[in-house]
Amino acid sequence: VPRDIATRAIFKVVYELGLGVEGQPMVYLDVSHLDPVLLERRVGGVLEIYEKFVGDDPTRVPMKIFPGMHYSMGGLWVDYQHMTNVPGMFAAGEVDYQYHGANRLGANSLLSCLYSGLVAGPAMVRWAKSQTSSPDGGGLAEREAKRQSDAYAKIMRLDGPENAYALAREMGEWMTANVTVIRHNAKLAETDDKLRELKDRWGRIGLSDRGQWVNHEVSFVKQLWNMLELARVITLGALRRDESRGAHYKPDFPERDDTSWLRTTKARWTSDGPEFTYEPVDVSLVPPRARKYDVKAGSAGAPGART
Amino acid sequence: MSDARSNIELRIKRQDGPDAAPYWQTFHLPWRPQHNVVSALMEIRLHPVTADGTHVSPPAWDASCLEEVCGSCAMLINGRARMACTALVDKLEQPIRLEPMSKFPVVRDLMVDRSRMFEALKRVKGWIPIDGTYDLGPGPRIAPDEQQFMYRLDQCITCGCCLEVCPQVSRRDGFIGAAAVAQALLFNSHPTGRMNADERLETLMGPGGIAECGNAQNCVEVCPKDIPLTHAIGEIGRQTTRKWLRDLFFR
Repeated sequence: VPRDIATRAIFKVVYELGLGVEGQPMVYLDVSHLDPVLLERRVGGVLEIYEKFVGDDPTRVPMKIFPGMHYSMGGLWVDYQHMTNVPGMFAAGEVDYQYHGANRLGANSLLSCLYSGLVAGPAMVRWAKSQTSSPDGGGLAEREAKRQSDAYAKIMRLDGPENAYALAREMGEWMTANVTVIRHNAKLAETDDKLRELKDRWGRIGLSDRGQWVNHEVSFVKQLWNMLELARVITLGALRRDESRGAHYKPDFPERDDTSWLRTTKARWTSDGPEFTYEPVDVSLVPPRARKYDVKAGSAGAPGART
Repeated sequence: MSDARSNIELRIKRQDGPDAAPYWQTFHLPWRPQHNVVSALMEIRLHPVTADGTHVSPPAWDASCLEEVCGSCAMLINGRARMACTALVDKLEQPIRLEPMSKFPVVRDLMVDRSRMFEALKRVKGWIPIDGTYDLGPGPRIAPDEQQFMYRLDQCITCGCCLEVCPQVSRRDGFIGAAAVAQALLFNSHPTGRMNADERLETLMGPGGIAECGNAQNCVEVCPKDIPLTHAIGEIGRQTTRKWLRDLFFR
């Protein structure tokens, strides 16, 4: 069973039917009937980590599990040489948007990482050798250094009542609840309001560490701003896409809609928030077809008919 | 000592910089099921206030994966070198004492500089040299039993616990450490890596090499990934002895 379908089935059991183990967001995954030798060979590392963190032996008692965030589908736009739209900046691996579309399937992360590295490495060398001067006519590094030190100084001056880690947790809770497995337009719109509120509150963060040596807090505050920007891209991108495709699932729009939505969402930063455009998906080699796993209709594993 | 089921008490050894004097601070946080030391430290930074009500900078520590594969959260927990992410609060005696490892220079608070681990990997050439300029064809086949054994060595997360507990490892010089010896064996076991076996053995026959091991066997006791470190040391000992004899008679 692909992980997005398994995840939706677990969400249904836990949130719709209210049948989580001990009333908590957990279900059982039982492997105790399988041969321990086979388990050790195939998934020994995973079971060992479970035992270490939970304290139960999964070869004897069922595991209590719940899906977690594991991978970002989508990322920086790159061309076929893996160069971003910033000349000279390349992206390879999970940071780029290539290959996976709306659903990365198991083990394909490593595949795309290896492939994109294989392409990006030589491409970077070729690009560097082909350049005779700085792409922007010089001064880029100086300007960026100035921009970054201004941003740093601004963060160092933050002196309000908000805690950056608490804001991040709040963002995480909203995103997890509304922008992960099951997406409703009303909730997505609410989440964007929340994100804008959090961006506003970001300006009222108070630093508890003003040291100049290994200050984790100051770099976290800086990253948090970027996380909020990206969270809006994900939320608004999902809000606009009225269909279900891969891991993007809207109960109000359960069908895949190739006529309107067989295209990739692209977001561009502007000072007024993300600006969206779309690019067509290259289907010249593999024509789109219905995604079927023969899950029995009406069972917990069948989240709406999918064509 | 506070009630372990309502409150968690952490005593953290802090140090503002590499040359600053260390000092201790105590933090209280509400008990929650499934807390580990990393999640407890995360809780502290939401509200970095000590037990006596002083607002302080949040303690600095390293962590990345939170599933015991990155190796960055190693520290002394109640005096034992171990990973903070798999140190379950409910299984620890309170107050929980957190200290940086002592065999590495302190960067700040619980963060240490483990560069020596990577320097050691460079010294033993912990890699297989392939320059990528031409197609070498398919790699040699490796029997499943050998793969299984090599995988155990490959699980090293470079956390440094084995160096921390080794009486032969000091802040300067001394034994290269069990981790690097095990990696030398890993790459000497690989059919392609074996082509450079002598270079790895050469290093391990020199200063800080295998002869410095005192057979305390603490390393294998604390290794969070259960790597057969003493076996690796024994096997590298055998390989270096053979090389020494070979060099003596046939060179």
